[in-house]
Amino acid sequence: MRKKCTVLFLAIIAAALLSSCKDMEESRLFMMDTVVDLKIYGEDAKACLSQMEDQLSDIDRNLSAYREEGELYLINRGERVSAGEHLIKAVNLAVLYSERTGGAFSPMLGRVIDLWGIGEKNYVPSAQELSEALAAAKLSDIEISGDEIELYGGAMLNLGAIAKGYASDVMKEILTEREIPRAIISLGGNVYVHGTREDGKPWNVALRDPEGSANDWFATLAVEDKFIISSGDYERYFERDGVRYHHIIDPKTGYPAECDLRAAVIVSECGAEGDAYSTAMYVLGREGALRFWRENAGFELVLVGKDGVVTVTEGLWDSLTPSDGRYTYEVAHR
Amino acid sequence: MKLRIGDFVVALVILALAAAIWAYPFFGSDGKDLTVSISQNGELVRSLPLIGTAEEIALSGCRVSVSDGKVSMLESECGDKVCIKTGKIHSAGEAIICVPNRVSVEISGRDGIDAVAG
Repeated sequence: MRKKCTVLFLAIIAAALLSSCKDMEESRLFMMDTVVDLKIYGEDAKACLSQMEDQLSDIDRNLSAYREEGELYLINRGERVSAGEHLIKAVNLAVLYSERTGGAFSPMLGRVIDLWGIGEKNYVPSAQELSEALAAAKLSDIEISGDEIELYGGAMLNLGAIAKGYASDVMKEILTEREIPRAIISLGGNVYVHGTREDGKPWNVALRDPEGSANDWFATLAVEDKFIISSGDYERYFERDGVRYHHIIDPKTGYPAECDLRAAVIVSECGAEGDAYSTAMYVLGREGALRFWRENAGFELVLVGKDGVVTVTEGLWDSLTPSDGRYTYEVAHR
Repeated sequence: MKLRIGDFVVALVILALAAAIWAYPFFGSDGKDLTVSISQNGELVRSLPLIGTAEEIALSGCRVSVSDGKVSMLESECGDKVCIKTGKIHSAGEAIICVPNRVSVEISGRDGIDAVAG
């Protein structure tokens, strides 16, 4: 009897061991002023996760305009700084995308963003204050020489509209180097899906409904190895005297962008590009965004209009499944 | 060594148990055993059944309510109140996040959705 019990006991242990070969690690971190979810599959998952956390902490420190121990903070205080790998790469990309989008995305809005303090002090600046802040927001106010960065004329950098996208590119590099078969990462709703799901099918990424709460979505996208990055007026805002002041600043006016969209979603091969473009496409509005898409390859768009029409570019049309009858959907061709 | 019938039985038992333990998360939940997981600073503070719980959970800087099969953020000292504006959640895969308080409240299981972008 005792022997039988031992065998059964061993059988249960063996069963538990066999079934625990799940090879998946996940982590939720509060970093970069948002919530970061990492889900990594494969034998190397644990080491991968730890490397990712180290890199995210480095990026968080040096790309934030508000971390006193970081590089960007010093640059914004007028110092000439020899920037580390992440900051110099991110700043160079930010300048590139700002030029490419004709200034619809700009990393130079530090003063304007601090003036509004959206989500914190929630202040509506005067026209005079804004024009002064905008005068110190020109792309020509930054000098990049090798890895050295210096700002002139009181300009201040803010990488808030590209840092998370850049960080997700770094996460992708780590996953690729470590030959991780599949992973899914989300930096405050900036999603990167690596490989496919365990069943070999594409990942199912829901797109948040600008009309609903954080748990409502209007459609799902079936995607593999893609960055899905969204910008919208629902993310960070305050209301004063019946006016909604949201966090996407039009670099030309210094005011929250007034356009015909509620959200612009980019599906791209590059996180930094997707992040910068999602802001720029929101600022440009539906027509401007579609024109930009027709002139520039390498990304696709989902534009949620204030008129209830969702415009989906042709490369995504077949992978999108509407999950709500509230919107009408139209396809855009090249 | 000769294999006996008993050895095959043991092997079968092991495999069947392994399959059952592995498959449980996929088929085992029928909605009645949804779990609410409340974490702060990345540490799990409480994990409790959604159905049949009526409780308020005090955390540093905020208070969560679980009652009538719904979860909501009752109070929070944060500036933006995004967590309170999220309202009541009740389905698998839904979450309330409060970044300033570093709190996440999640209902376990996802209805085929791997991530929410936006």
